[in-house]
Amino acid sequence: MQFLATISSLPFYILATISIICALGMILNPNLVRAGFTLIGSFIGIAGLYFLLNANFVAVSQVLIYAVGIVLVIVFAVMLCSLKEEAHNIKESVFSSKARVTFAVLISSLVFAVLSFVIRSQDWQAIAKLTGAERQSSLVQLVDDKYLSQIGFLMLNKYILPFELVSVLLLIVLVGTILLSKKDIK
Amino acid sequence: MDWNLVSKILLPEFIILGAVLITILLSLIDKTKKYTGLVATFALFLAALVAAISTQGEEVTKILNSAFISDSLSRYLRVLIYGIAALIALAATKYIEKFESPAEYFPIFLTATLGAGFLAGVNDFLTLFIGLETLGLSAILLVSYSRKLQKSNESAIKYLLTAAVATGILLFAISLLYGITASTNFAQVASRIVQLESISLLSVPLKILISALLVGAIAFKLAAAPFHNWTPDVYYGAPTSSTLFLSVISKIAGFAVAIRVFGTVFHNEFLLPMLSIIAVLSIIVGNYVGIIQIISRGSVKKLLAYSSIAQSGYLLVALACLRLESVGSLLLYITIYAIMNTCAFACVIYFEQETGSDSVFDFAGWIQKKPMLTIIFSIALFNLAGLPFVPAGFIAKFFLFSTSFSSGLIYAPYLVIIALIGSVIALFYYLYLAKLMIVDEPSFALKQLETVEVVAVTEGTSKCGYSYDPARLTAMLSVGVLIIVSIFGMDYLQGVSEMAIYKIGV
Repeated sequence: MQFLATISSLPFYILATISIICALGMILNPNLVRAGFTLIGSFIGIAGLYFLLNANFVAVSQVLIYAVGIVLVIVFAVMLCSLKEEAHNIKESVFSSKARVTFAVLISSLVFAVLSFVIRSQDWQAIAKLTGAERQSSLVQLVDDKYLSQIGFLMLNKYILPFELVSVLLLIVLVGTILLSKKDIK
Repeated sequence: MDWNLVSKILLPEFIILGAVLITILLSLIDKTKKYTGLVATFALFLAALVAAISTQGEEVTKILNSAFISDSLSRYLRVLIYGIAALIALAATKYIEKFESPAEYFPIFLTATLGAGFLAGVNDFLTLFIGLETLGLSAILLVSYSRKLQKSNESAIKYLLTAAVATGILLFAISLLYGITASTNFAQVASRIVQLESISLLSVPLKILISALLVGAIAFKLAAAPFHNWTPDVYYGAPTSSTLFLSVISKIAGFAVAIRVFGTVFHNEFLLPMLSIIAVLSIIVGNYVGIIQIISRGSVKKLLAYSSIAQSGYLLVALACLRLESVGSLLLYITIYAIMNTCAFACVIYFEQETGSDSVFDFAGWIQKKPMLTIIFSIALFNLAGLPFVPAGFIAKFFLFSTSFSSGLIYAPYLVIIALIGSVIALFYYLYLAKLMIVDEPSFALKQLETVEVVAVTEGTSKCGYSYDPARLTAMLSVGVLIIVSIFGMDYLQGVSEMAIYKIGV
């Protein structure tokens, strides 16, 4: 199976390591601006994984939207906020920081263990054989030249209702964001 | 694609969408900021009316590449959602005036209702996800509306974070389902799962994981224990009209999704025990903490939040039985619950407008100030408790428990017994609140109110620009509907709710 061959190759491990290390750096770095920039590395690593799996459009979107757009917004927001005054008001948690770290590690390794166990327990190749024909017809062809136009066609045809609903959602989120962030008029 | 059919079926949604745009524009023009609420109320009422009288839903129709299904269930739920939302919008009209920029409340409110309406007829996992997001994100904005208050901001951030986790859980379930079925469409997913099950190709851990993730994500929307921890804080901190929205519309939408997904798409032997556990936990936690809340004289909003967790538990008992009869009585009960809860919260909104408080203690002796509203509030509380004073609540609860009892599920009787014990415990705090209002001496807040009123009258200023208070009107309207239904329409409503479930389409 092509997928399994891809995720056991050397480039996969390199990219996965990059994104994991950057993600760890983002969490452990006390400086918020630096943490934000480390996040870019993590996102680019994930974008590389998408390229590896032939999902070019998703990879480009990942770079454009997450690595550039969202991280920039986060960094600007951090730089514009004056966190020093607020920091004193934050109450200390009832748990010690050591207990919190232990708890977090425990929970995330539990999630990882459960997910990997469940995914390994399923015979995916049998399912792939069964649904293979449908995947070919319903999904876009990966190496096709008309890859992008197919995505556009699906968005405006098969998935028109979710697509239009997203536009309503974005409109109202814009209204709400302005409402929440605007200065008080006095 | 037949656009005539689409516009005919989605006409209520188009009306609401139009109202969203109109209210946004109106908030720019209208300087007094009074009419957006009335426009929203009118549009929602119109949408409910259109959905009710149109002939759609008599046969199963799928539109827009089966992204939306029009059947009896979606019609019933849409009428319910839009009708109740109209009442809530009316109750909020005056209440939200005390916040800055009150006019933008209603576009957000209408969008949230639109998301809930699409969830009623959801037939594709992508629509399900976007609909839940439309409902959820707008609800977060509604919760954070009184941004000057710290408790509102706190509850909004809590709701945002927990909702994000719930969304992640749901997405993971959807992606696993897509992985095994190569489709997001409900009908295709359902038939593919049946096919895979028949040759026993699905591994047991995978089935358990998908069920658990789906149940968890939906239970978050239903505020069912153990996914309820956000509920009390969010309900307490949010503006009361937003609390009402969360406790009614969000819950109806959650049950709409639950009925569709668990009833028609994804069903296996692990699902019902999970739902039963959640039902039992919700009943226990909701009632236990409700009692503590009334003993410690906490907030009425928190009390109603815990009671709504317990009510979710009763409804989940019927869902866990998953028979046509029990789900039919679930629809009947959720209808009555929505009306009762709207009525109770409308009274709380009115009380808050008058006194600015929502603590249990301040409600003492309200009957000496507003006898009519106190009686209405008491009727709503009696009905939530399941007392046959105005029999609607009692009858609905009776059907809920009796159909669950005889559903044939092995442990259904035990579930019903737990639910019965829970509702007896709940009697205590509902009746205690009613007793406090009717028997006790007026509280300090109410006495203070009197002097304020005297000053206002002597100065000759009118406090209220409306000829009749909207929240009070909502309370009277909903109790009126409750009384009329319980006298004349219980048989009819039961018939309609049973028909709604029999003609469900996949």
